[in-house]
Amino acid sequence: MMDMDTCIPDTPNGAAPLSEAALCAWLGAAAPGERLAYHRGFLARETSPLTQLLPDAERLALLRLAHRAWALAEAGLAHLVQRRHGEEDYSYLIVVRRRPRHIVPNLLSQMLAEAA
Amino acid sequence: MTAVSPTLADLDPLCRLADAAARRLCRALRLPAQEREDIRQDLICDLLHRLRRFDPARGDLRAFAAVVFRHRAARLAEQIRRERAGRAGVSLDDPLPGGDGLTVGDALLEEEGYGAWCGQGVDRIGALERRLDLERAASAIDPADHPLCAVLAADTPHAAAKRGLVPRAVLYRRIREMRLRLLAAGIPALA
Repeated sequence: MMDMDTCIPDTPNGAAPLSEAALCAWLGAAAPGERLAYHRGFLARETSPLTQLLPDAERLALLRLAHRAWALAEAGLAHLVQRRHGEEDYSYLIVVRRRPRHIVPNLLSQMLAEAA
Repeated sequence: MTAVSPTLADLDPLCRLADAAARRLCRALRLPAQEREDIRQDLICDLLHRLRRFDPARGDLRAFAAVVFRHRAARLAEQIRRERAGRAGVSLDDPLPGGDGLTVGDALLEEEGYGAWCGQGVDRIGALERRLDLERAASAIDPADHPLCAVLAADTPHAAAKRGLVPRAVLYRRIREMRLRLLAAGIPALA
């Protein structure tokens, strides 16, 4: 059976932090039920500008990643869950949902009509 | 009595008659001016072809030529009208009779389309897959960005920003958002 936590190319392997694009690319290629830990730590503290736990660039990148994960969940593409390891130590997981089959009919025709 | 053959001098006024008949026909059928010379030659050829049947005892040559031109012009007019009827303008958007909302354009095969004539690919399966991909992509991006997609189909982002439709920073931010949405939808090729 396939290991659901298997890393696929362009996704985090611990060496480099996950980017928004890599998260989206992983989601686009993943099957329903697959999950990915997109962060380990305590997001609320690490993304706060007051705590200064991370350099600004890293903090903003992490904030964007967290917002993107939230947006994907809002769009119905994924579930967001956390696994607690200890005090202020969580794994933030994104779990792929079954893709909606609903495609707006003639959407392309409408776009072409707008373009014309 | 032996019929006297017409001379070239006899034909000269007939050419003017033919010219007048050709001009009348062009005017009646609204043909372009360049067609007149062709019709004139056609009329004269027909006259030369029938000249051996000319009998001077029954009338003069001008009258004979006038009748030949009139008949030939009538046949030409009928032929042109038939051709025009065969090329009756049908719009691609005209509904097919009993087509349940289908139009003439929907019933045309790719192989018969303008793209095939221009040498473009006519792989129907490929075209279907491309259309499905585009439908999927269209549903993945925000409807508010559809007009922007339409603009980007014709212009580069730089050109679109230069036209001032959207501030440059907003434009690139929206393009980035669209690319991420397409990636998340599993359409990396379009992103």
